[in-house]
Amino acid sequence: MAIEPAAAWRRLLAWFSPSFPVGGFSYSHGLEWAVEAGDVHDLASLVSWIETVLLHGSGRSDAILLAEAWRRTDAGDVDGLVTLAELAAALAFGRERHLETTAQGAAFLLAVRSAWPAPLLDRVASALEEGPAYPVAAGAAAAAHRIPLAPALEAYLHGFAANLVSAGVRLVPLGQSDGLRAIAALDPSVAAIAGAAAEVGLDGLGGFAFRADIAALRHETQHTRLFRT
Amino acid sequence: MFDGISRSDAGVALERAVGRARLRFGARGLAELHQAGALKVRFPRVEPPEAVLVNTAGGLAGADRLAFDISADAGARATVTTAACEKVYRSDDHAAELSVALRVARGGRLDWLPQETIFFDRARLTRRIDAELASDASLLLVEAMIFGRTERGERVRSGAFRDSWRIRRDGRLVLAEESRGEGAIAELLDRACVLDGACAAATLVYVAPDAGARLDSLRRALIEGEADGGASARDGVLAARLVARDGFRLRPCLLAAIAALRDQPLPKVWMC
Repeated sequence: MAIEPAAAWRRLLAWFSPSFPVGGFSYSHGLEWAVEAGDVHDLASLVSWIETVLLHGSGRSDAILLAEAWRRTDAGDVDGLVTLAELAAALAFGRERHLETTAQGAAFLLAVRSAWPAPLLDRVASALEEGPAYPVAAGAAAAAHRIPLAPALEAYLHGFAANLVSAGVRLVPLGQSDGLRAIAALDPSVAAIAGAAAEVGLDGLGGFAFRADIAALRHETQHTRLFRT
Repeated sequence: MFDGISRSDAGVALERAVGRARLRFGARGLAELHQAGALKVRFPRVEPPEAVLVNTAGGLAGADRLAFDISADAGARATVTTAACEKVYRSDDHAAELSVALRVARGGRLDWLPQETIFFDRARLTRRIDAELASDASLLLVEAMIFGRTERGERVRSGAFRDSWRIRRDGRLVLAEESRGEGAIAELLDRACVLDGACAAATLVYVAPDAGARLDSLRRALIEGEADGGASARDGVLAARLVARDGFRLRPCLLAAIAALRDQPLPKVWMC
């Protein structure tokens, strides 16, 4: 039985708020290099960059991984979840992407388990060796708390987009109003990917945001850095 | 839609070009060879051994299938490449399928260096690569994609591609790759964080005990030349991506990147 919708939303608002202790503010997903290189320099280029990451990059892949983690946890398939966590970590291209997703996944799981304990989530956490990728942790936590998949996807992706907008606002830099305009402009992409990810399985994985990947790789050797990725 | 009528819809049996090649290298060179259908293998006289795959069908079209199964025994070293760029032609129904199985045993090294894959407008390709490595084995894997030979005025407007790779070391998945594009390819490539309008892209993966030690020289190779590229290493796995305006500009950068990860010269077929 799913929990009542309002309770599910309150929990998701807490878990994916910028103040939730996963350290999201310290990751730019390669955006710091994209700003340095001049690819992202104003509101329009920021929105376009994040939109592509959502539709054709790790936003989409994360959403598909989250949905699959939700299904496997919901079915009590702990072994399947361990296999999925291995795949999610192996898909992270480069050292910083791997750090970004596994460090946030580990922190998320720890924080949820300490304040919102659930026996199924404890069972899942003890089976996972290292920090699972963030979307895997998020999907498992939502399923263990009987939160339906659709709002969990919306909340995760909104948090993903808002975190990148916040990084962009600091890096470009942009005013707060432009930051809000970016979040509003990205809303249709968040909704589109949340809807699509609930439908396709792992077979739908994949994107082609090669230059976003290159930005994440180049960030490793960037001289002045505010962000860890 | 007229162009939606496929050969199978019309009740005509699909004519699939099928090719298979199985190669096994031992410590003293080629130990096993099976070739079937459209695939032939040539062996230039070089040391360590090289195999050059030839697709006698001259390219891939809808529903064609090529399968490679290549293994290196304990301590064996080998390079496998292709005689030419693989061309993927227009297909309105089925995707061409390419599957590659690579195995490297203890202390072995295998370099999988096919020349670039060239996509024509409305091409459809599904490629699967599965690699299994022993804990101290080495694998260099390079795949480059060119979307239209722009110097000849060719442009890819639509099509479909899917690249799915799984690389395991000691049974553990160390790298997975999922790339895809479907439908309006030109619009996808135009996006700033996809290819920013460029038409050539490549991914290099090097899994080896010395992967981390090679990172600096690979990075030096990537910053020269006209391609945009980046590399990273983690847990004995080095991964790099390159993007260039066209195939002509990608190739020298690709050669420099491969050279940074090899102690032998590149296969001769790459140099002509």
